[in-house]
Amino acid sequence: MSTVELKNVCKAYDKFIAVDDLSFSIAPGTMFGLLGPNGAGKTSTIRMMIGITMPDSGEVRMFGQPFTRDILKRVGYLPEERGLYPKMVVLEQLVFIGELHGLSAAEAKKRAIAWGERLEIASSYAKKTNELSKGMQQKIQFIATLLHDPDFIIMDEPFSGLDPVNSKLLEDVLIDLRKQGKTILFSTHRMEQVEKLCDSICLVNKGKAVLAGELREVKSRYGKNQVEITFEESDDGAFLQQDQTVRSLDRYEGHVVVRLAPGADAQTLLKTVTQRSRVNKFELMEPSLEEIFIEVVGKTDA
Amino acid sequence: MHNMTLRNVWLIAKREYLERVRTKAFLIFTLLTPALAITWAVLPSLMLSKKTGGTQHLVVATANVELGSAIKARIEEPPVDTDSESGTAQQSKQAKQVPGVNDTKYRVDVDTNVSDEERKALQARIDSKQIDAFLWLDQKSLDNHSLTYTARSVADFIELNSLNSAVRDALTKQRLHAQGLSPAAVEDVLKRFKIDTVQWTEGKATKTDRDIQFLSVFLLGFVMYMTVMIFGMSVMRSIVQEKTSRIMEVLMSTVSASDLMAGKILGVGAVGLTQIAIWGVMGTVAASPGATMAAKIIKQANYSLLTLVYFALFFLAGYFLYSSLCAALGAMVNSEQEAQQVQMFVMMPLIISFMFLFFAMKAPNDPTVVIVSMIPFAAPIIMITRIVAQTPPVWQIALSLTIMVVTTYLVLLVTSRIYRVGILMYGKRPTLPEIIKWIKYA
Repeated sequence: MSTVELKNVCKAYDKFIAVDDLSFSIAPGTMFGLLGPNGAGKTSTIRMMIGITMPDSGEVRMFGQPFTRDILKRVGYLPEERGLYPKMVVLEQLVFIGELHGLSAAEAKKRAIAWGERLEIASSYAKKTNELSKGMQQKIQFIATLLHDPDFIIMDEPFSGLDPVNSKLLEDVLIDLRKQGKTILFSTHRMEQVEKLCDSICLVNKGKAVLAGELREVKSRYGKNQVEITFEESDDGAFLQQDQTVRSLDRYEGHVVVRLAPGADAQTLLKTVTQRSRVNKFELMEPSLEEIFIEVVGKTDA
Repeated sequence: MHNMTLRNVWLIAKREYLERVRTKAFLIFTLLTPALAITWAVLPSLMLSKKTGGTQHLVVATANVELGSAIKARIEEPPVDTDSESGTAQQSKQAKQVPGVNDTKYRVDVDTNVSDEERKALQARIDSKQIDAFLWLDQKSLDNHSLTYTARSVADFIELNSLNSAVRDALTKQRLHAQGLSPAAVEDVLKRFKIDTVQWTEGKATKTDRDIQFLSVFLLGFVMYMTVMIFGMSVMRSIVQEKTSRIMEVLMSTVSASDLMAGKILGVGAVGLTQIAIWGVMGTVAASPGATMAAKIIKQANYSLLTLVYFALFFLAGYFLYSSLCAALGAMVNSEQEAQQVQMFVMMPLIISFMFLFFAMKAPNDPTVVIVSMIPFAAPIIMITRIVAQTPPVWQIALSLTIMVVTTYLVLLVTSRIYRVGILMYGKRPTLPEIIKWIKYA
């Protein structure tokens, strides 16, 4: 049984089609990346999952049932921008949100303090929210999302505004939660994090799913069509630009990254290079998710 | 989404209430408003009494000595106004004691010389501050019933009015006397009638004071207007603020929009009622003019306990109805500036009710008035007016209240729909067809 299942979901605002026949499902205990350029329909999709809007057609099922507000007690949502009362004292704010999620005030307070200690922010609990830095507020928001121990966690750009240390701290929490069997949905454009954390992805563009599946499987679908070459040529591989096997080329100090032309054989390229220079390294690689993203979105936009 | 969960409504209302009551702004507003009100009430009368108070030296220039001395007597010793329709003798005496309301004392000299030279001389005496003013009453002005009042500072209309009636009274007396009536007969003829009003309810005579009743309804309407103005707007602002931040997304992922709206209106509403209660207590403790006046009004208007209960009920129902209307507008706009622009949509029904109040007071059982008192947005003022003027059948009162409560609920439902869709439309004010679409959209 999937934690979330979207079946042929459509959503239009007036004449603008935000989500167009979108289907995907998220398996329990996995991390799922909802990717896409700005305005692709990510937030619209999330809003239908948390009952802010309803789909025009199609169905959103959660925990195997059609959507009801009751289900939201098992869902934690972290919005893209800060969604906190700026003038409210941090601890009171967390207790309030915990209570709205069905906790008693005492339990909410206990949990908030425990989380605060874990995320090293409990010392700021007596302050007003707007007295905290952006990163600290993001931690508070993070805690607010997790306070009621949701089974399904939705995070819209959770690491924005965080320094690497704090970013790591929250990543570890998420990995921990997944180990406990929680299902996590990320919406982001930070591909390196998705690559590091997610089990499966769905890339949307203009409201449509353009790429979906398990991350490993998606990447292997694109094959090993990239080559990193380190060589001793002094003009940094300018000669490769005219080569038939090369589709595109990134030149760096001492090495180049080559994307092979469709159907091109890497061995042919290797021969060309060895004729010109000594080769120190020649490695066939999978494309990064970012490259896939740029390619797929570029293609669908064209 | 229609199943309101009371716990959520309560939690949201509690937060709104506590967050507001604990602010410095609340404290300052609570203390400053009575201070301002007192200043407003006292300052003008202080200024007025400064200008008109004390003794004014007035010269009456007329060739007719008898008339001159009659005017002098009338101005120096104005009769206590026991006979106007507007109240009892006791009240009028109280009115006389209020500073600033025509309490100027005059010292009057009669000048029988009405030559042009004398006129210039009198003008010169004003310049040299020997006198404050003079009334010029030559034969020509007597014939034309027009006189000239020359003064260093031109008097206010109350003063002119009393001068006018002084001259008229003196002239009437003198002429009637000349016709052969004895001074006592003249006094008797000129004496005005005192009118007592009796309200007849269910076979019982209750001595009432229409003016005071009218005033009390007006005051109640005014309090309502101010409360809606201040706290209704505060509901509107709070919704606009949350719409523009993402806090509402967090809230909406836990509570329904109708819970949120109901909680907000109740929470902010309770802040308003708390403030009014504090002012009430402050007024009573300090025995400020306001509280004494209110007590006096209730006593003189002879309101029964039931009427006071009706006051409270209609005030509360009206307050929450208007607050929900403010919430609806708050859900439609995107910024506080826009909120201010649409504010008049809330104020309009109140202002129209005020305009209708006069008619409702005169003809409380007129079919139009009966119908208007059933219109929820007019009911708080018009039904109260009817209750005060002539208590309508209980079923009408109950019906009017029920309509208000049901309307509040409907406005709330519509508002929560507008809110839920409206938040998705950042930065664009919806058109009317769009709003209708939102309301249809579940």
